[in-house]
Amino acid sequence: MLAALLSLPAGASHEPPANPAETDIEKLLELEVYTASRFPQPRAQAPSTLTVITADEIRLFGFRTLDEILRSVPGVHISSDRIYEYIGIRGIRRPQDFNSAVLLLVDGQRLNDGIYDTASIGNDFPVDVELIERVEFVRGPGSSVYGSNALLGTINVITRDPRKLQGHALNLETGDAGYRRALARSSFGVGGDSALMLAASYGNRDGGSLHLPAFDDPSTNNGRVDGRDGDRWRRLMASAQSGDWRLHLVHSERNKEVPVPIYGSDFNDRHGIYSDTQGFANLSYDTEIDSDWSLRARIFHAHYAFDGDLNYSGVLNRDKARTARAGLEAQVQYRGWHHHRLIAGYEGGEDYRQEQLNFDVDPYFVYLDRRDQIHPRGLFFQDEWQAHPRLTVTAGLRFDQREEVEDVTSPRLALVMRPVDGHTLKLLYGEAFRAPSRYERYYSAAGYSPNPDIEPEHTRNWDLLWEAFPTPTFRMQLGLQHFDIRGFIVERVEPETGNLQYQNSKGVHSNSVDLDLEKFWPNQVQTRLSLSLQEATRRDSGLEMLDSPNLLAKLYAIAPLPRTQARLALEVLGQSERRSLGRQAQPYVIANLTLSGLQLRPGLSLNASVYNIGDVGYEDPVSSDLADQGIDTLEQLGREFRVGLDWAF
Amino acid sequence: MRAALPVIAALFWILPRPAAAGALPEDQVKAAFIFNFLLFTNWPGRHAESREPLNLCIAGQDEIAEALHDLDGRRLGPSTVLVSTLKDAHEADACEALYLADSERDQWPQWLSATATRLALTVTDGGEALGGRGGVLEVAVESDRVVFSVDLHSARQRRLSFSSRILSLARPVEAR
Repeated sequence: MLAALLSLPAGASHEPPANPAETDIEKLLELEVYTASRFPQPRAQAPSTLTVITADEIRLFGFRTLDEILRSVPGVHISSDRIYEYIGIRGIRRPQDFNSAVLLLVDGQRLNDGIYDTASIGNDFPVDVELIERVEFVRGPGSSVYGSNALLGTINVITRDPRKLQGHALNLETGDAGYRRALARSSFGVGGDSALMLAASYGNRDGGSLHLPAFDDPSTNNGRVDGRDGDRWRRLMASAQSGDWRLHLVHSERNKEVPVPIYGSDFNDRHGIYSDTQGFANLSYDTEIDSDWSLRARIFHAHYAFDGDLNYSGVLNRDKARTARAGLEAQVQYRGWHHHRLIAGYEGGEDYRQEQLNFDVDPYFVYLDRRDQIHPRGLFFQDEWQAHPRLTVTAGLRFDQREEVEDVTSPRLALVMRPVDGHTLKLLYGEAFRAPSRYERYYSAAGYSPNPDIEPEHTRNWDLLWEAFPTPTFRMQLGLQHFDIRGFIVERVEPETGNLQYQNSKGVHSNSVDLDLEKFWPNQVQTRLSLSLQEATRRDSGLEMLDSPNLLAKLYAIAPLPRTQARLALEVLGQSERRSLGRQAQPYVIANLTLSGLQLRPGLSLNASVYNIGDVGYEDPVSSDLADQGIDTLEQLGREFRVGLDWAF
Repeated sequence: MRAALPVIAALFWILPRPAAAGALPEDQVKAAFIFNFLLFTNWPGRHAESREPLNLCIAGQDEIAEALHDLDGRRLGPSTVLVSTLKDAHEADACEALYLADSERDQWPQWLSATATRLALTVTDGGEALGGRGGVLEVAVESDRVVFSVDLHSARQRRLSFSSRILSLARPVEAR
């Protein structure tokens, strides 16, 4: 994003943005990124289309959730069914899935759970935005280093290094729709090279009301759903660093009221609630053995639980999922061979608990009770070869094995050229896969047939990227992408039984163009404009995919507030119409404005945002789980204010 | 996240969904309904997570029986449905469900009384097997929809129980 902010020191969130004199974008982009190759490397050299969003951008633009952070990335759009948030990349989003085609990592720790392969990006994401150092977002395949799920993209949320944080902080926020949030954070230095950070937060949103035109009848409250949109979450994080060792604990619980009659559950259901609990514990060791060798290793445990209560004709039905996974990762890097950087890694885990349950509470009746165990594992290699001072060649390969799916090999080849100074050209080819989730394979409550024969979906992806600096204060980037997904998994009716079933379709292909322009102006004004043209088409029907905008436009601007250290930041988001299962979702433009860093007294600063300034009514397409109830698009949030106090001591 | 009981209603459509390949013949829809009904049925001693096959037995022949044969080996919940044809009521001990086809109509009372204390869920296409005659489930089609009746008295004798949700959709059984 706005590259100037990349230069800010970590832990600066309570300071006004430093380094105002820096206006040379290219210099600022000499930041090291981790996600593209699983080791730190200069951003320009990364064999990927990679975007970094920093802590300062998060604060400046008033991003409250991971999905708000992600939607700033070119070619990304976010949709919501007022329960969860869903990410579309280059026009590809699958209704009825929980972002399973995107790999979500926290400091390299996989977050996609073992049943649905969910990437939680809304309030169910377990890390508070204030604890994020930066978000690295790779658009395109990542299976050559990460294995399954890294089909459309890889998101790696890098949290704050406890050694770089000082003292204590308290953030308090309030806003419209009963929004309240509090975060407390404490950091302790223990000796010279050790530190501990503890953080806890609580958030609440009463939510608003909702109008569902399909239920516009006196018997169903004229389609109005009032007071059923509440959202509540709690999060804990502990992070300790000592020398080469890091211990990391994350846990979160989120309860969302279900305001829509999803799956044909009762309209205006008083008890409809979805609850997601997740977290992990890991211990990592990361060391330079000598000038040629380095080693990175980690052991982890991760857990996830879902509880969904929905009423059907007044009978409470409960859907439950429980997963737990333990495993280890290790990788070595060797730089002793002239002009080469070689890495080899192993990743293996045991999903020792995978439970799916569905039952009526009273009268008690069990529809589904399934327990499984699997242990996915992968082995990967990569060589980064400096073939010429102006050419880097990266070749990578990963083998993945797991039960019930054939072994998969995912290659990658990348050429990164700097034909003349100030220009970078990247040609990228990659293959990636996603193994069907346990939910897609085995969910079988009434109305669903399991499909044990379902196969992984595979993608082949081409990227051509050109980045140029016509002047030191002007950056432009042009990207062309082609995606080809084979065996794309869709929900279909099994004709013999009339049940829904997840099946492999012929696939999807997508073409897109991104243009990203960034300019630093005098007086610390910065702007970025990104335009994405994209099309994503189903191979079987020849139809455009659902919820696939052909045009995305994003404008970001930052300006100082005169005579203060505060800044104003404007975000404008626009997208063209999108197909739904019924009517089209209409095009829209919304704008958000944030004031941040207004110092009230030393250590105490104020920030405030107004989201959807124009109170624009807009809708997102939703899946057939709602379309079957006559709801094809769903209204989204109108104008909302938020104000926050940051106290550092 | 996730799903619950989405399409019970869809079970009753002759044209299941717009996405389907097209309208199914009536007998196939009835067969699909019978197949799905098994998921709403609880047999004593059989756990929901059991991966043991469910035996769906057929006595006699008709179009529904043929459509049921096409469902042989299909997954239902964690288990598989095995469809077999019976020659004699004494073979019915291992049947979780027993479909009495039209060709055996004259023999229905014999089949029903011979299995009256077994665990089999008996199914008939219309006809008069409920209301004290020993049958449990009866299916029919009215105005392009599958309708069904469940005789709870017979079900109790056979120690079968059902999801309240499916029962709320059943038509009342008239005493005969």
